[in-house]
Amino acid sequence: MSDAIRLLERLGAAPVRGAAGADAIVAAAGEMPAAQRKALLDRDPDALRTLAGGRRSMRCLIISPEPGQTAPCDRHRAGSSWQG
Amino acid sequence: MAAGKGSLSCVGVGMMLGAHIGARARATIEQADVVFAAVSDPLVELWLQQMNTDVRSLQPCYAEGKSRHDTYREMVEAMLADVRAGRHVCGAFYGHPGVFAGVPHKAIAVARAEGFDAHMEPGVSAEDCLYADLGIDPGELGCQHYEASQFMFYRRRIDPSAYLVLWQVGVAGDRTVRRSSTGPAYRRLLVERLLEDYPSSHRVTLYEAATLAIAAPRMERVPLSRLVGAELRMQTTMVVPPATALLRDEAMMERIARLDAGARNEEVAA
Repeated sequence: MSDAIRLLERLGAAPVRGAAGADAIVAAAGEMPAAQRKALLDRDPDALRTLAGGRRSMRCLIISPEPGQTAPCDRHRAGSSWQG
Repeated sequence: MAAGKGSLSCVGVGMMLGAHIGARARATIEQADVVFAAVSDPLVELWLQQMNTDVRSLQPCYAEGKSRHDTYREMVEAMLADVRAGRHVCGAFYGHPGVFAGVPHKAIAVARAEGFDAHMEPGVSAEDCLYADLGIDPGELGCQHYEASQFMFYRRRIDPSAYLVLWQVGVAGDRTVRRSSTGPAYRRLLVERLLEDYPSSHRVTLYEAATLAIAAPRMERVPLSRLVGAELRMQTTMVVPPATALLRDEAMMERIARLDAGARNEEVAA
């Protein structure tokens, strides 16, 4: 799976815009299991996470609404993007 | 690094895997004796594991039904234990380690109080991505940022001629800090509060930054009247654009004009 992670890193750093550029990078990548390549081309982060063997549940920190406190919040991963 | 007096660096890895991490943050991760990871995407966690042989996820600090304040303290303590053991510790956090994330601030404060070197390295935050993706310059009309629940719990003076950004709207109104989301009834209260300053037809943007290059940011525009039924996740941020024009303060402008005139007179006299 490290190939897919490296490819994601390369895609993140690449000055490409739009699907065509990203697809070209994926297509030009070296040997990669077909399922991973498909997940990348399908833009399917959840499939990629499953294939990667990453944690099924990820939780994020949020700031507490009450001043002077900070409470991590938890959330089982359901989407593909988080922010903080 | 050789063991000696410990240190702590809390760094941000940015929002998008591979796109936002800074050179110093990356070097800090690579050169640390141990890296504690608090990121939101398992792929990012795997990515960090490629940068350092000792990456420890902070995810196990969580547990169902466990006090999140205990979780929070355990995260800080996990990092500090290795600092006290003389290691150079890196806390790697997604986005910016100091924005809507209290653990890095607390850990750094504790480390410094105990005499250790501690440092925060900024990262690209969701706010940064929001400005870029939505084409907003906060300097143009002004921009107010509030945590959504705090916005509901406390009376704030909203300026509807500036942008309003509400964070963590998915848990708006949660007083327990145990829920992963709040329901329509809570959102309805949030909408009621917003309707004090905005018309129900006012369109807001529900925003989620992209964390992978193969994904797109969410930028969904909905009127306030439909917000109760909208999909609001933990990572959703709500952007409320200005609803009124800037109102010039004529009295202040007059006072400034008098100052300008006085300054010109002084220049002439000199």
